[in-house]
Amino acid sequence: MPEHEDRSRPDRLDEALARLPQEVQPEHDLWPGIAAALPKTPARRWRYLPLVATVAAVAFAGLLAVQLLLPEAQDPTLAPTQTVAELPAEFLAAEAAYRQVRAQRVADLADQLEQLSPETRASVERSLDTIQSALIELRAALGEAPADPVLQHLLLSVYSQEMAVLGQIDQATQVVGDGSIEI
Amino acid sequence: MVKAELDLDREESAYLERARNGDTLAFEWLYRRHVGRVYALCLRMTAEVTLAEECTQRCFIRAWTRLGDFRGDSKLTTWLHSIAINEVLGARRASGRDRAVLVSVSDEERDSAIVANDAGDEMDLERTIAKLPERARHVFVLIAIHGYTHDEAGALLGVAEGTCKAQYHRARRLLAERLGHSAGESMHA
Repeated sequence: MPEHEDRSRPDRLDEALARLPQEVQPEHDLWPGIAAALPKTPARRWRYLPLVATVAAVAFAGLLAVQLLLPEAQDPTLAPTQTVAELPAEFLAAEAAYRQVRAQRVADLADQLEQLSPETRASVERSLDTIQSALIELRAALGEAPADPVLQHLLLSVYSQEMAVLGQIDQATQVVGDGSIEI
Repeated sequence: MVKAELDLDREESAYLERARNGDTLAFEWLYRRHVGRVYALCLRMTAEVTLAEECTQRCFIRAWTRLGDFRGDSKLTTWLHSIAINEVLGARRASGRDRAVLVSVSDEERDSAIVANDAGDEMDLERTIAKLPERARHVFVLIAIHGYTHDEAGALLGVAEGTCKAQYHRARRLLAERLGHSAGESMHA
């Protein structure tokens, strides 16, 4: 029927549509079939993808910095991993320990960076910036989910990366100071 | 949409967090809370009980695997609806039934599926919507019943907004014609 023949119809139709239920329950309980088909892998595995990517970028940045400072280093990625494994179980204790060591190394960082060649220094500073960005991101995520063990692990991994870079800067500048290695 | 409407309530957020960590009991809570809205959409889009049940199940199974992707930018129902719509469209493509449901389902079968929970004018209306051509029905169900805009419905169905509007008006015209002939007295009295 053309609309102009009954102008009230659209309104009546809308009123009828508005009365239709937004919810309809299935006649059968569908949950048992769903539960049986749920993959055992927790859904959360995708949740951390962006943060894992961040940590991977940090690892790359840390590796780059270490290679620039000590070309002879055999496998600089091993040190951070081992460090994480050796950290205390309690996350706060681990973080406190990290902060203490970090404070000692950062105190001399500015002077140490001054001893590096401009090119190496720029690369190392970019790596440290990347690490800092990751730490901020992970701290924010952990603030929303403080008990999340995966986030805790990721944060400790980045802490370790930063410690590795700071440690290598320390070693490299001592060597430079002795005049043994030209960077 | 008002921002407050987009915020998940605390209880749902808690269950969502638990489900993300692999807690199937928490996910069952989310299922029980949302299955009515998901099934309603699937049933109205497919006009078939069995297919609607399959799509609803697939929707929640897929949601489980993608929970980590849901960041609360929209309501959980909206997110589940988008998955359900993909399941409905995918099921249609997979079964080669991407034609009007009238070909494969008898009126009686469809009516019994759609109107089980309805009565009176609503029953007539549900029956008539179920008999709409499939593409027009999809658009109409999303916009007229579940409140999506033309733009949103077009995006969800993978069609242009203009196509969406055309199908919507086609559905309204068909509904007006069919209700006028078969149920006009009760609907428009």
